[in-house]
Amino acid sequence: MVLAIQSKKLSIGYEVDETTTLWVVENLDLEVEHGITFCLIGESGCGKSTIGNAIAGLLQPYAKTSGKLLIFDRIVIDDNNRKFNSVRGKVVVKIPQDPASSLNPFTTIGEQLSIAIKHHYSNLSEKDVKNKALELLEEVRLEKDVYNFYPHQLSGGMKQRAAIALALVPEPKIVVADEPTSALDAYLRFTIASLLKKLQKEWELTLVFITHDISVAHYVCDRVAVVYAGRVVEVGRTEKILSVPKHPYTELLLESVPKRLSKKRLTDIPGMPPPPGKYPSGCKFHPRCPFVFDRCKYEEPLLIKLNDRFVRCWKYYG
Amino acid sequence: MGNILKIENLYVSYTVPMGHLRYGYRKVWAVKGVDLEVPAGITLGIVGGSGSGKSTILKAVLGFVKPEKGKIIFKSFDLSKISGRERRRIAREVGYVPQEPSQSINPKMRIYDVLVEPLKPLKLPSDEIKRRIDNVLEMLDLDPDVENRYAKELSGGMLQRIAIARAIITKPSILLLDEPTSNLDISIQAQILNMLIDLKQELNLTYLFVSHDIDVVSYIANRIAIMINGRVVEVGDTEKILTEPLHPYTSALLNPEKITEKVKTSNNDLCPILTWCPWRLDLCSKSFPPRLQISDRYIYCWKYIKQNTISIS
Repeated sequence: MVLAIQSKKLSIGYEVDETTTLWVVENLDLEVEHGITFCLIGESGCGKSTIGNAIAGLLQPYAKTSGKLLIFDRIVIDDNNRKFNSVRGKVVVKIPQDPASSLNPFTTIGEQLSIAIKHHYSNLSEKDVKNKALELLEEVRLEKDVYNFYPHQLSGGMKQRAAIALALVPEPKIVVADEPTSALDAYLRFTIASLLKKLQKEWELTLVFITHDISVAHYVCDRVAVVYAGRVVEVGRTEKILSVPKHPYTELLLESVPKRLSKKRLTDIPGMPPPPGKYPSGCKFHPRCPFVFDRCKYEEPLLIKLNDRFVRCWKYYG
Repeated sequence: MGNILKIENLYVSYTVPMGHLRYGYRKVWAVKGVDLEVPAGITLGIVGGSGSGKSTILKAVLGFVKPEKGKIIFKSFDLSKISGRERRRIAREVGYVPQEPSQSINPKMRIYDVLVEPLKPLKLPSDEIKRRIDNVLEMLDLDPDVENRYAKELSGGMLQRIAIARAIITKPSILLLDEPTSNLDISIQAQILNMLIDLKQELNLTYLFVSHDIDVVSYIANRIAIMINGRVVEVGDTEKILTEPLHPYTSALLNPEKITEKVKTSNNDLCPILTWCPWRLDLCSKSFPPRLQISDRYIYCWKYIKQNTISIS
């Protein structure tokens, strides 16, 4: 088993002044095998995108880190030292949430692809660069005409495909897709999701898929990690986690999503996720948890193995 | 049960620039010959992809856009014909909740003033205004202190509640909801949907609920209309639509994961799914099918018209 991503007690925070650091992600232990689709789900503000940015090497310069992050056994985060130059944009790439703001509005899609191709393959002739760009467009199921189009001439789904084509230029091994379907309508969501799934298989990629859309996660991902307040609360195979959730947060999250043909009243999770710096003591979910007991308030549980998954909940301790 | 709102053969167009470096304007049809009935007390969900004309129907009902053709009959008044004072009086009976509350709430106004705004034409005494505001805030589980705050101080879920409060404060009989949950987090979405269901019962409202998410619509709506490219292609009871979809586009919407290719729509006056329909007939490339009624549902498809000769409206 080759591990594409491995984190050991990784914490990521932002320094607000000289004495205070708000830790968004705390003590994250994660292992992602190479060649699978790994999904991070959770509410907004729970740290999914921060984890994604850390893997893609796109943390802000003022971000603080501790612990270790390894990409294919290469240490890229070692406490506050970050050495991403050898992997960022080469081994790991990121597909942004909003393709409209990531494409240059002043240059055609072909030109943008050509610039990226020339950067990564300096020995190619102009003709080969164009051919490679056209190949990539075909790969993401875009017509050849798109080569000469400006981003404003493309629909939302086409822009997202163009952004995916750009991400594939360096032939990466890990692709971090940060909510690539959230700006699209329900129908386009699945076409983009199935495209990513196809590319993941054909290119043997490790796809880190960040979403809060449970149905897309169910469709695309092999393994899923449920993230709450900067830590993973449940991780395992997608079909197991999403069909029989064990952690109360996963349970409530799944019950709050409308299911077709079910008129059962949706469960709304009371309150909001805590903002960084205001994480409660003990289990971070205890103020919103319906199964809370005394121990949850004072002591934080660790991720423990429970048959087919790992769960962070006192309910499952002996 | 009578219809509170009836839309007959509605055509709405927008004038858009020809394109970059080209002179002139062209007409784009956003809604083409839509017929819809909304019985009082139900929730009619309109589902379709981006650009299918869902929101334009709401805008036409609200009078934000002028229909080219057709009738919008609200409680026996044809909204496409009346204007001025009469239109404004009727407008109070139609509430509207926009998609993005943060853009529809004036950032420079306190929430109290935001809620007073729709009541101004009613010229109510100040104690009645205060009573109504307190009442809606309580109904929507909002803290009374919220009225002294500004939009930037509130979360997305709270802003959406304020938008709903503003829509129901004039005591409307129908509420037009334009993707009210699409920008919200999963757990907040559940809160808002539950709250809308409770409000509907409490205030005896009728909803016209627009969304691109068929699961959200199926949770809240009694009937569903499926739209594509400015046309309604199927209307029926939620359960029937979900379990026995008749139109191929409805089936595609219900199982988007099965379709790997982009759904191409035709822009002419023919069936919007002509290019990829599995049942394409010769008739399909001649004209758009008329409305066919099969028990309590309507469908626009030549295949069923050929099979059934029950009642073509």
